[in-house]
Order: sequence, then C-alpha cells, then structure tokens
Amino acid sequence: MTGLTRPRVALLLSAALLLTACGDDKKDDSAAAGSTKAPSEAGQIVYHYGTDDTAQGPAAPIPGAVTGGTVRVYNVVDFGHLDPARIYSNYEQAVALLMTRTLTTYKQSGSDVNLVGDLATNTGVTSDGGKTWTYTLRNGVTWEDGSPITSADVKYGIERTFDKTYVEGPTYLQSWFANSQDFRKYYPGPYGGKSLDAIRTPDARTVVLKFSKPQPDVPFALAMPAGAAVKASKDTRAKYDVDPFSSGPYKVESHKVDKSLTLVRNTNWKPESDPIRHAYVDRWEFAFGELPLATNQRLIAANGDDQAGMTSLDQVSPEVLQQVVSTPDLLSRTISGYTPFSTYYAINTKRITDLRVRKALMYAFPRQQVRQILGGPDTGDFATTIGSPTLVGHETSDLFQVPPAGDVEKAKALLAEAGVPNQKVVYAYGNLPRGEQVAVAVVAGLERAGFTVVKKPVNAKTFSEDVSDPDNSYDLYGGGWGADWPTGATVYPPLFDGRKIGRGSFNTSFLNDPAINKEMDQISRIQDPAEAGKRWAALDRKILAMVPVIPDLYDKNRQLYGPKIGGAVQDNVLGIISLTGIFVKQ
Amino acid sequence: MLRFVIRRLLGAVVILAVVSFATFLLFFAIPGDPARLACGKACTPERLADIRASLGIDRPILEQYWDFMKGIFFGRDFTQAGEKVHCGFPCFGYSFTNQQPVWQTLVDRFPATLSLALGASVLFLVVGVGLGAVSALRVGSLFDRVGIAFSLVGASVQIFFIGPLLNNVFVNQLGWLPQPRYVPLTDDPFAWFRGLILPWIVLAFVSIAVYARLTRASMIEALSEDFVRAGRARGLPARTLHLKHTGRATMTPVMTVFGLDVATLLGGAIITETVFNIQGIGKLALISLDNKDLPMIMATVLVAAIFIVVCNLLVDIAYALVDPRVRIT
Amino acid sequence: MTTVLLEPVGGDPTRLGSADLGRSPRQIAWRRFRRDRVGVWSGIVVLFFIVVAAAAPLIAQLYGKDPKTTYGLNQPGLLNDYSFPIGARGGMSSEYWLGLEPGLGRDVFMQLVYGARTSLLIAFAVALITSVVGVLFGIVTGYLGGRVDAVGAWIIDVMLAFPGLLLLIALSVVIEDVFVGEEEDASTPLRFFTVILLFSIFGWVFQARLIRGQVLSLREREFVDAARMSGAGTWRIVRRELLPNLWSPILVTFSMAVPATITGEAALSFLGVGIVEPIPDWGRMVNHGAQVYLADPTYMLIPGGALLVMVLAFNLLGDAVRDALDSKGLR
Repeated sequence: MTGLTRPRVALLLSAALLLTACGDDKKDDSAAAGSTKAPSEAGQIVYHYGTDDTAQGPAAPIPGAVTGGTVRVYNVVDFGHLDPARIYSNYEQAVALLMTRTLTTYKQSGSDVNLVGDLATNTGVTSDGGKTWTYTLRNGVTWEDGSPITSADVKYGIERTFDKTYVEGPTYLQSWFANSQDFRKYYPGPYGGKSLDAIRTPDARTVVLKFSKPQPDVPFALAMPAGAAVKASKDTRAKYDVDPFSSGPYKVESHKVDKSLTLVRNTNWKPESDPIRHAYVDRWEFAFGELPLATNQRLIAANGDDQAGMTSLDQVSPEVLQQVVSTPDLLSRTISGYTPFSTYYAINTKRITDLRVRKALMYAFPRQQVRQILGGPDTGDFATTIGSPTLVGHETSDLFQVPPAGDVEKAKALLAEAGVPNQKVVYAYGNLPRGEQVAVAVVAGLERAGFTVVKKPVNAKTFSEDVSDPDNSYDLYGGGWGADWPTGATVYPPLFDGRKIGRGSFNTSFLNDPAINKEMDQISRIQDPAEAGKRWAALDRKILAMVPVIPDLYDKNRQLYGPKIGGAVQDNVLGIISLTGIFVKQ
Repeated sequence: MLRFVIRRLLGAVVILAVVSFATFLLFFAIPGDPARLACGKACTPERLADIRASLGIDRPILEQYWDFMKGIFFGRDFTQAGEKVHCGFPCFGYSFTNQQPVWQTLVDRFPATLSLALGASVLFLVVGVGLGAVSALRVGSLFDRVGIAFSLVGASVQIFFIGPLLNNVFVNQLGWLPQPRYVPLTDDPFAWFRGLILPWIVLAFVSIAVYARLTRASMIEALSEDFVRAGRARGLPARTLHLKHTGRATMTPVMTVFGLDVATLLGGAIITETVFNIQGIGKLALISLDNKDLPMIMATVLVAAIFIVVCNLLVDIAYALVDPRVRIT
Repeated sequence: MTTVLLEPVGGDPTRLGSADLGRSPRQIAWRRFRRDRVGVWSGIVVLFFIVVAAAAPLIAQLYGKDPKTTYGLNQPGLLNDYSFPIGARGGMSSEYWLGLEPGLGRDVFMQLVYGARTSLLIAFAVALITSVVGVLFGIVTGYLGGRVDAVGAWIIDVMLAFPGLLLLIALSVVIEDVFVGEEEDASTPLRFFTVILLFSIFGWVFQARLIRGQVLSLREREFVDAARMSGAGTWRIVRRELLPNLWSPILVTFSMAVPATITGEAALSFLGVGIVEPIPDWGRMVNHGAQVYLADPTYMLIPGGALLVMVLAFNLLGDAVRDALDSKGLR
C-alpha cells in the first residue's frame, strides 16, 4: 500500500469493491434452483481500505454496551499458539487482539477498514520511499505489570521472530530485513546475545526500522502479531506460547492446554492509549473440545450460562444451517459476511502436465454438489477468479464460464482430445467426516466425465503439509487462501511463486513459470496501489489460464452467538468474529 | 494366599512390560513421522532436525524404549527450547505436540475419567444387578420381560447415537439437565453431579443388560440348586435364602465382569468422553494417537493396562475369598 | 462396552423333565425353543435380515437403484439448498421408498440393505473366527492343564490388558499402510479384511476365557474321569465328553458375539476408522442421523430403528437359545 509514503498525510485509498450477493446467483447453474433459497446478504458490500493516522484512544463506545459479565466461548480446538511470533491462523489472531498489541492495527467500523497506529501513534513515517520507517510509541502503553512498553520491547519482539524455534508465523518482516527467504542466516535471533542492528531505538519511545530496499507494506506487516512487542525479561520461551505476557485489555489467568483458557481484566491496560479495543467483559472462559455441531446446538438452545455463550472459531454447522437461517430469532444472533478467503482445488502441475487435462478437471469438478454438502449458498459464492473480491483492484472476470455443476461433455471432449479418456486422478483430502462426504461427491462428479479417480484420505493434521511436498503422489487436493492484507502481494506470490516451492510452502500446485515469477517481482515494486491492483487482476487471469487450480468459492462466514452477547461483528480483515467489542447484555 | 498374590503381581509386571513394548513397536509401525507432526505446518529442515534430536526418535527403538521405561522410575533430563528441564518420578516425558509434562496432564485429566467411571459403574451395577435379581425372583412375569427388554434395548443402541440425542432433547430443548461437563467435585459437588448425570445415564444404559442377564441367570440357577430347595423345605425365610445362599453364587461371575468393566472405564471411556466433551484420559488417548504423541500414548496405554491388571488381581482375590470351591492355581 | 458374555448355566445335561423322556437333548432343546414365542419371532427377524442382506444385489436390481449414486445431488428438486430432502418424511416417495440421505442424497433403502450386508458379513465372520479360535484355545488350555494352562491364562491376561479400542484404531492404520499403495485407495475387500481381522484379534479372548473355565470344571466331573479310566484317548474324550457339554456356551457366545460386533463396528465408524465412505454402513448412517434429526427426523428414525431392531433380535435370539439349551432354569 504505497500511498503511505507521503509523510503524515492520511491518504484514503478507496477501493470500492462491489460484491453483489445476488449477482453470482444468476451465473449459477439453475439446475438446483427452485429450492428454498437462503435469505441473501444485503445487496452490496463495500469495503473501504485506508489509513487513518488521526486515530486516538479511547475507542468510541459501542451503543448499548455495558461493562461486566462472563463470556463463555466454545471452540472445537484450543489455540495452537498464543505466542505472537508463532501466530498465523485467523482465530488465533482474533484472540491475540485481546492480549497482544502491535505497532499498527486495523480499526473497523462497518465496512470501513482503516490501518491505524496501535502501540504507535500513527501507521509509520518514511522519508525515503519506504526504506526507513519510524514509529513513535503512544503515551500510556503498559504491560500487565504496569511497566511501560518501550521501544526495546518492540525491537525484541521483532528480533524474536527470527529464532529457529518460532517458525509458525508469517515471514514478511524477516525476509524484508534479510532480503532473502533464508533470513535465519542473516540474523539468528536474540537468544544468542546478538542484536538486530536494522532496528534502532534512539530513545524509549522511538523505533526505526531500516530496510535495504523500499518496503511499502511494512505498516501492514506490523499489524500482524509478528509485529508485537515482547518484554525480554518476561520471555518464557516455550511457556510463552501458552501464557503470553499481556499488553492488551485482558491477560491469561489460567490455560489448561486443550481444555480451557481463562482471561481476566488487565487492570494496567489504559483505554486512552488504545484506539480500537474495548474491555466491557469482565472474564472470558474458553472451553475446548466440543464438537462444532454440539456447540451450535447448545448456542441455539442458549440455556443458563450459554445465554452469554459464543464461539470464536466454529462456523454454523451444515446440519443446523437451515434451522438457523430460517428462524428469525436465531438468524439475528449470527454474524455473517464475506471473508478474505477463497477456496480452490489445486492441481499438481508436476504430475498433470497437459493443460487440456487440467481444463477437463476444471470442467468436470462438481462444485455445486460439494457446496451443497457443505451447507449451500450460505457458505460462499462460486468463484471465477483465484483471488477473492476483497482484494484491492479486483476485477470481475470469468475466463472459462464453467457452470457450477460442471460441464461433463466439455470435460469428456478435452480428455478425448488429450488422448486420455480415462485419465487417472488421485484425489487427496483430510480424513475428517466432512472431507469423506465431499470426497464421495468429487469422485462421482469426476467419474461422470470419464476420469478414473482414486480417493486418498490423508491425516487431517498433516494434510496441508503433505500436499506441499513437491514429490507428493497426489493429483488434486483442496486448499484456500486469504490475503494477509488486501493486496495481491500477499496472495499470488505465496501461492504461485515457483521459487518458493518446497515442504511447508503454499504453492501446492507447484507452478513455476519464470515469466510469472518475474512479473510478480515487478508488480510487488509498484508504488501506486491502484495500478498494482490492476496488474494483479490481470495476473490472476494469466495464471488462471494455465489452470494450476480450480477456483471454488469466495468464502462466507457465519457464526452463532448467545442472546446476551452484544457488540458481535465480523472482523473483515480476519474473516472471523471480532472479540474486541463484545459485551454481555444485562 | 500370599504366594498367590505375589505370583500374580510378578505376572502383572511381565504383562505390563509386554503391553508397553508392543505399544512402542506399534507406534513406530504406524505411518507418519512424529517429528514432522510435532513440527507443524511451517516446518524448516533445521527445526525438523532439532525436534527429531530433542524427541530422540532417531535412536534405535530398543534404546528409546529402555530410556523411556527407566525414566518412569528414575526421572529424566530433557532439553526444551534450549533449556534443560528435569522431570522426576514418575516421568513419562513431555508431549511431542505441546511440550506439556505428560504425567501432570494425566493427573489433571484423571479426575474427570474417575468421576465418570465411578458414577456410571455404581449406576449400572446397582440397576443391573437389582433388575436381574428382581427378574429372577419373578421369572416369567411382566416385570421380568419388560425389565430384560429394557436392558436389551440399552445394549442395542450406541453411545454416539443416544448420547447426542438425549443431550439435544433433555438439555437443549427441554432444559431439564445442564450441559454435560466435568466440574471438579471439590469445586462444586452439586455442579459436579449435575454435569455428569447425562453421561452416567447413557454409559450405564448401554451396560446394564450384561449385569441384569448375568444376575438373573445366576440367581435362577442358584435358586434351583439342591441346597436352596433344602433350605426352603426346612422353612428358612425367603430373604435369607435369596441373599445369603444365592448371593454368593451370583456374585462371582458379576464380579469378574464388573472388575474388567471398571478397569476399562478407569482407563478412559473414549466414546463417552468424546460425545460429551469430558476432558478425561480417554479423549486424551484418542488425541495423542492422532498426533502420534508417543509419550502420551505410552502413558495412557500403561495407565489403562495397570488398571486392568490390578482390577483383575483384586477380582481374583475376592473370587478366592468368596467362593471356596475355586482352586487357587 | 466390551464384549462380555454370560457364564452359561450348563450343568448336568442328564436332568430331564417328564415330557422329554425318550428324546435326544437336541430335540428337547428345539421343542423348548419353539415354545418360546419371543425367541421364535426374534429368529424370524434375524432370518429376515440375513435374507435381505444376502439378496442385496437382487433387491437392488428389482428396485432399480444402487447405494452409491448421489441421486439427490444429481437431480434438481430433490434436495434443498442446505442439502436436506425437500419432500416430506425425509423425501419418501414412490421413487425413493425410504427417502434420501441428507448431504449426499443417496437412497436410504439401498443404504440400509447394503449396510445390513456390511454389518452382518463382518459380524458373522468375526463371530465364527472368534468362536473357533476361542474354543480351540479354551479346550487345549483347559483340558491339558498344568503349564500349558498357565501360559494360556497368562496370554489371556495380556490380551485383556491391551486398550482394545486404541489398538484397533492404530492397527487399522498400520494395516492399510502396509497393504495400500501410494497411489491406490484401500479397496473394499481390504477394509473388510482389516475390520474382521482386528475384531477377531481382540474378540477371541472372551470365548477362550469362558470355554477354558467350562472345561476346567468339566474336567473334574465323574463322567470324564470315568472315560479317562476306561482308557479313552484324549481326542475321544474331547469329542465325546467335553464337546457335547460345550455346545451350549459355544452357541450362546456365538450368538452374543454377532450383535456385539455390529455395535462395535458401528462405534469404530463413529471414530472415523474401519468401514468408511463409500461402503454403506449402518453405524455411520445412525451417527449422521443423530446429527441431522432436527431437520430430518426420518433419516434418524429409520436406520436407527432398523439397527435397534436387528441388534435386539439377535440379543433376544441368543437369550432364547440359551434358555432352550439350559435344562435347569425355571420355566
């Protein structure tokens, strides 16, 4: 987002994104129409992304909010990580907002999403086109023990992300400092006593980050937990992942891994220093392990304490979706919206090398049936591009005009043309019950076009890693991606840069086209976000033409909460329910 | 008697050794690299090597096994995130997945399993035996038939079917019972009780049949034994006959079954815990199997095996005490 | 719950009632069974299920559908947006006699018929194997006694000490890994083989324990002593004196093993192991039914009810068989 290079001028980037919830339906194959249609979202959803350097604490009070109460949160699994250097999943980022403050953050109000300073007074100042970024810390930012958060803490927090133990978080900052993906060679982290000279702290309230190349997206990268401050004397390393030292409105009272997590007020957090957070709730009690369907059923019933119950992870299960959407009382207790995520099915381009076969897969894939199993139109709109419409500069296009239920005849024709009418396809999926159901539909759909399909269940825990192995023996597998911040720079390079291929990478289609790689480098250097957006959109079409993935859905979120929960809104950056404004109705 | 107990204890030790070694071997036979699983999604080659070294799984299996078993009694030293930690007796190591101390995790979760086991076993023993006894005394009556049919229905349904169903009806829709969950007895006995009622009932319901039928059959047989008929002829009151003379013969087979059932429950009722989200050892075992968390798997398996062995031994001792006809071999 | 079998009430088989004079034990038992109405009806129900399961392909042909096709997903107008059947009562119609499966839209009737096949095939195979192995083990260790028996008892203890469910899950993963290629899918026969093998590995112990106990007590009886003293060989004694007294417990445990295996196998599929999609399986159906019953109660009631009836019938049949073979019970 290079508009920020102008010092101290708040530039409002209005990227008006028109998402007409009904528009896509017209393109839907009317094959399954004539059924009960889900009430659609409001006609148009417009996200405005911008920067606001005038944001000040305290955050504007939410109408009707009262202080007090205990919220019970039921999530199917515990947070894998609470250590800011190790957080990447959206639900972990959401809870991190309660305990961890970063240099910058997002202030959201309705469909307005503005980057603002969190620990810092603004989103950062640069005078040399993005090579040096200077941040000044706000007054009154304190740790849970009352001590002030200093620039040394910010520096230590970023240094920590280099350590070889903390590999789970994003790697933007690290690779920008080091100018390479192999950043641990450049700096091994603070545990050996070394310091990262590229971060300077001239005084306790000033942090200066120096990069060798212009890095216009630094303010965005600092909004991720990896840009959080960590107090060196409170760094408990492995234990920090379970019980981090808090800089936010709440702190950990107890955390029994995989069982429960209790957060209580951090009385040393000062609302005046915080532009986005509220602390209405007295106490958060997280309980883990309950199956999502059971959680949804309990929230539907909302007996006793569950009146102030919610989930910060589980979606409304397909089994109860119909009931929830068609019961007005329940529907009013849900948050929903488009997320930054889009889903796709990656084709292993190393194994399926014939473009015609890949196209045949795309035409044969039964997206309609799969979506129906997962809950129908409420779960997402059929995608015609790889990137989600929430990206800046997104252009609606439909390169192939594939009907949602597929086009069996075209697929057959393509296979015949390629000379492999019964092409074998190994479809890999995570071995959860839902995955099994989807697999049945996928197999049925592909077989109709003549493919010989082998279903390969894979341990759900290692699935995303296994399919990232360039030597994997699968041909087709699901995936999804959400931009870390809404530019193509956080979508296309991770997914399609051939130089990133390897275990653990997200380029699971193994596309490695030198021309595409070069173009991605070029676009990443463009200063003007609107122009970059246009180029990314064009690149999207170019990549899609090679069919390394089959676009599936633009993801929608729907989560249920109890009748006494107020202030529930969707965090549009994370695509999940936001916890910072929750209050308990009395 | 003492010789008998000692011999059985020695046998138990051997059994535990066999079970633990077999589990160890099985673990390494399961496909999947525990280091990779522990390393997670964004694994780098160095981190993988680090983890592999710290987990010690690149060493020969026998050596690992020996270290693990020795460590249980004598404690072990581990390196975690660059720091040295010592874990004392009983040391089952640290979880591969989240580096939590295994023994503490087990101790923390055991009360939930214990509570579940206790309540359910009392319920199915009392109801099952009671049902069977009354049915035996009124053979062929309506009570007999209905009672046995009821218990058979229980044996014919599955926990994963009836559990969520009853939960939805009685908890969610009618609101008669609170959400099933484990509250420590020491925290709030009332909530402890109410939170476990539904899991107890479901777990007991599927088990009653065995005890009912066993009791009924044994009592029927005992009631027709010669010595009972003789007693009746001599004019002994019915109650004495029923309890004193038939009780002994009935209890032995019931005890055998009960011992094994309780032992299994103490090792963790996997399905019940999963259905009702009771964070006990059973759920832990399942999760650790999924995660290929070797120390946790070993610990849960060993604990379950110990319970079974101990319970079997206790049952055998009780057997010998109660029934003089049993020869202690 | 573990497969627990009753201690049979065997006993002196020579006691006879007056009406039974002149009849062989087998005839006596059959007469007694025939008089037990519940038993007879259970037997008929069981037979019905067996016939249906065996004739599944024929039924499919007559009905004109198969259990694998996702009819609801393929044709519009059958499932709504949330993939629940549009028609009343779970989508029951003249086309789809018992309605459609929510989610995948397969035919419920076909799923039931083929699911019965799956369950019964596995259950009978397991019951057979465990009975044969268990009986052999029990007879050998029980009769030979001494050190052989000590070893046998110890083996039983070891097997019982293993946490069955966990090992079932772990072993099924191992077996599939061994037999399934990288680019292959575990074939249906392999899955059946795995499940049957695993249930048998853990199931034979209960039969063995029981039979061993019976043999141990029978061994001391007068008629066995007499046979031994009169010079009869071991095998002859086993065949002539022991086996006839063992049929009762053998039959009973066999008939109990069947419903126990059906329930156990259903529990496995709940945990995602064993018989997985797309092989029709009642356990999975019932589990799915319990999840969707609010929106589609028919889909829960029908498979749930059918499973209940089938297992109940087997249990009642087993009871009736035992009652018929028992000569001492008060009738």
